[in-house]
Amino acid sequence: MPMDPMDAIRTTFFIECDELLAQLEEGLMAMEEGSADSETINSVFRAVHSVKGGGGAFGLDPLVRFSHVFETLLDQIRSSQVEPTEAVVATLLRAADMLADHVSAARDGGGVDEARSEQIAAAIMSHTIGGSATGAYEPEPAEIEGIDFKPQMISLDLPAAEPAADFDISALLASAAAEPAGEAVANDEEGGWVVHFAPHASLYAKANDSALVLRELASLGEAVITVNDEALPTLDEMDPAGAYLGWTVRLPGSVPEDDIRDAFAFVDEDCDLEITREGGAQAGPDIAALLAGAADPAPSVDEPVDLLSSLLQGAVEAPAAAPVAVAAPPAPDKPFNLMDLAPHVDELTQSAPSAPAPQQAANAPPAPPPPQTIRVDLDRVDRLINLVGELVINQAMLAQRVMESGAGKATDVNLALTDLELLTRGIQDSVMAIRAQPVKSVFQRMPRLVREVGEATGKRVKLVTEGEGTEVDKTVVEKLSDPITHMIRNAIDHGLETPAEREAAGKSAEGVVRLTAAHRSGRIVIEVSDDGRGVDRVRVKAKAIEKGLITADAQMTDEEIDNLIFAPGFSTAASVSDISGRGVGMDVVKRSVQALGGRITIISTPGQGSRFSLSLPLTLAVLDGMVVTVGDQTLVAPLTTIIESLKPRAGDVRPLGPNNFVLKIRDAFVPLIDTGAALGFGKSKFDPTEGVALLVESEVAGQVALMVDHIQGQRQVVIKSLETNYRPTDGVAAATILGDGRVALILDIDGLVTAHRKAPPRADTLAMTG
Amino acid sequence: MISETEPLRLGSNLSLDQAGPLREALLTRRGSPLCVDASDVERLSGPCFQVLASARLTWDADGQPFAFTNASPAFENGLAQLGAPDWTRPQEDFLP
Repeated sequence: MPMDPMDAIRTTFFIECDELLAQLEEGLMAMEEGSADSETINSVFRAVHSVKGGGGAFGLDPLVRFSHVFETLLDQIRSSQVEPTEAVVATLLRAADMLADHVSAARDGGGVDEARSEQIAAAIMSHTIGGSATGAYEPEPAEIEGIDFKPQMISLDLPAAEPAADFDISALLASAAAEPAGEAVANDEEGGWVVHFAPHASLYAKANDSALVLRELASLGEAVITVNDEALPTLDEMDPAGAYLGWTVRLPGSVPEDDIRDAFAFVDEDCDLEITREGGAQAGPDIAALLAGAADPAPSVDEPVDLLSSLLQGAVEAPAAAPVAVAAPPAPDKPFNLMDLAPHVDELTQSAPSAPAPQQAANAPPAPPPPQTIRVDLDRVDRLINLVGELVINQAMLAQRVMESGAGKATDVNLALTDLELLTRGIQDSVMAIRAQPVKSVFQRMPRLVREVGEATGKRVKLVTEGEGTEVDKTVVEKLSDPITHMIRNAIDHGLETPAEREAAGKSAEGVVRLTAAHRSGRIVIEVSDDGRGVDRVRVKAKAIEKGLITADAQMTDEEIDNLIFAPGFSTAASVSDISGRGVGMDVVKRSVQALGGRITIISTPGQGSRFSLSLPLTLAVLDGMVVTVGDQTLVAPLTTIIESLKPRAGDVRPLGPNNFVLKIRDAFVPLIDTGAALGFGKSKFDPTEGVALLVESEVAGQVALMVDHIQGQRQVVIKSLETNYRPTDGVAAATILGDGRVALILDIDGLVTAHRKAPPRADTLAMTG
Repeated sequence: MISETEPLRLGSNLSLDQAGPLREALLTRRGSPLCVDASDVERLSGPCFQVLASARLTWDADGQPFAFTNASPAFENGLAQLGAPDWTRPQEDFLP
C-alpha cells in the first residue's frame, strides 16, 4: 500500500533532518577547531535554517522556536556581528545537541527536556546581540543560498479523505508576525516592489502553502495583494490538488529584496516568480522562474517548456533589463551573476547539445557535477541481497551438478561456469557495496557523548576521529554504536584522569580520546584509545581475586590482567557508575561483539593510556566458514573462531570425570566436545582418533576442541537466519544452503559449549581408545 | 432566498488536504443558492481558497446566488491575505 503522501513528506523531512544535523555537527566541530571561515558558518546556518523551515511546515512549534533562537545567533556570527569565540562555539554545540533532541521528539512523538531547552536558549540569547528579541518566531532576512530541505514527492495527489493530522500550517501562520492586511493601504510609492507569484501544483504537493507565502510577504510591509483567477476552472473541472491561481503583491520599495526572496525560500522551485521594481525594472533574474518557463503566466506544471531557450534568453536579456536611467530606482542588491547560471546551462546543454550557448556561459568555468544519489528503501536492497545470495547458492548447485555429471574440467560447460562464478561474485560484491555505509554515521554521535560524559565527570576531553569514511555493511554499522559508546564512556570515566591529576602527572589538562576505524584483513577494526592513566593492574588483579575470577597465586601476563576487565561480573568502580557502568560491564560488550563474529581486546600502558580494539566482520550477510562433516550432516564453523585443526592421537585424549574428556594440545588440556552428540545427532560411538579436532576460541570456556568427522574445506557461505525461517536452536547460529541444495547449519560456538555443559553426553556413548 | 437555504458549514481547519473534501461537499450543493457559513474557520489554506474561488465562479456561471455568512476573523484575515478581502462583503443581490 502506498504511503500517505503527508507521511512520505514527513519521513523525508526527518531523513533530511538527520543529514542536516550531521552537517551542523560537522561544521560546529570545524569551528571548534578554529576554522570559522564563511563557508563553514554558512553551512551551519543553512542546516539550522532548513530544519526550522521544514519544522515550520509541519507545525513543530517547539522545534521552530528553538531553531529560530539558534539561527539568530548563527546569523549574527555569519554577518560578523558576533565573534565565534570558544564559549560561543561551546554554546552552539550544546544547542546542536538540543536541536537534535527537538527533532527526535518531533519524530518519535516524545517530549523534550523543556527546562534544558529554555536554559540553552537563554545561553544562546546571552551571546546574541539584542538577545531577548528573539523569543518568538518571525520571518527574518536570511540570505540563504539555496533551499536545503526539498521533500521529494512523486505523487501529486493529496489524499482527499484522509486528513493528515500532523500537518499543521496554522502553527507557522499563527507564529508569523501578525500584520493585519485586511484593508491593506495601497502603495503608490514610486519604485515599490511588484511580485508576481503563481504556484505550481508541485508546491502544494510538497506540503507548502501559497497562503503561508503570502502571509510572509504581508508581514514585510504594507502589502496590496490581488488574486489572478483567469485560469480558474469551474468546480467540476478543477483538480483540488491543482494550482490555478496567481497573485500580485505590491510592497513598499523600502523592503529589502532579500526579505522578499526569503519568503519564497522553500517554494521557489515550485512556482513562477517575478520580482520587479514598479516601473518595469526587474530585480536580479530569478533562475527558478526562468527554469520554470516564466513566460507562461498560466500556472501549469505539466506543460512542456523549452527550458534551455528560456534560460538562455533570460541570461542574455537580464543584464539589459537592469535600470540604466539616472532617474531609475536604485539597482537591485543582487547583481546578475552568470556563475549562478553555469551549472544549469551545463546541465541543460547536455540535454540539447545542438543549441547554441552564449559566449558568457561558454566561458564560465565548468562546475563540478554534484554526485548523483537516489534514496532507496532498505527493504528493496535487502531483497536484492537475498536474491543475490540465492544466485550464489544456485550457481554452487549448478557447479556441483555439472561436476556430478562427469563433465571434465576443461569442457566448455565448466569454463562457462567459471565465468558465471566470477560474474556472480562480482554481482555479490557490488550489491554488498550498495548496503555498505561509512562508519561516519556512528562516529558523528560520539562528540555529543564525549561532551556529556566530560561534563558529568568534570573532565576535559578532546575527541579525535579518524577513518570515518571506512565502509562497512549497514547491518554491522547498526551494531557498532553500542560497543563504541561503551568503550568511549569507559575511556573517559575510567581511563582519563581529572584535569588536576593530569597536570600533576605533567600532562595537558585536556585528555584526548581517539576513535579510529580502518579495514584490516577483510575486517573492520575500530579502536578507542585514551591518553589517561592506563589500567591499574594491581587493582584489577586484586579485584579479580576478590571476585573469585582468578586464584591468588595465578601467574598472568600484563595483557591477561588487562583483559580481565572483560570477565563476566568484573567492575573496578566502587559503585556502578551511571556513566560507563549503566549496570553492564565490559563483559556484556565483549559478548555482544562476539555474537557478531567480532573480537575485542585492550592494550594498556600504565600512565600513558589504554587502547580498546574492536574487530568485526565487514558484513553479517556472508561468512567465511570451515565446512565440516559430522555424521551424515554438513556443518559450517565460523573461520574467525578457529585457531587450528588437528588429528588427535590416542594418547592425547584423557577422560575427565565420568562424562567429559580433555584433549592435550602441546602443554595444555582443553575440553573436548563431540559436536554431533552436543547437537543430538552424533554417532553412537565416539572415537576421537578417527576424526578431526577443531581448536576454537569460545567466550564461555576459553579454548575448546570440537570433534568433527571430516573437513571439507573453507568456503564463503550466505547466512540464512534460522530464527526467521525455523526457530532459535541452541548451538546453531544460522544456516546456509549448500551447492547440493542441502541446508547446512552454522555453528554457534558459545551456544554449543553451553549446550554441552548443560547436557553432557552419556558415558556409554563414548568408546575410548588407548 | 439564499438565507432560507441550509448553509454549508465550513470546517475549522481548511488545510491543504481539505481541498478535495471541500470541493466534493460544494459540488453536492450545485444548482441551488448556497450560503457558506465560515464561523468556525480558523485556518484557510491556498488550495481551499482556490476551491472556494472556483465555487463562486461556478455559482456565478450557473446564475445562482452564493454568499459567505458569519465569517470568522481568521477567515476574513485569510481571505485578505489571499487577495480577496471583498468576498464576505454584503452583496445586495444575495441578501434577503
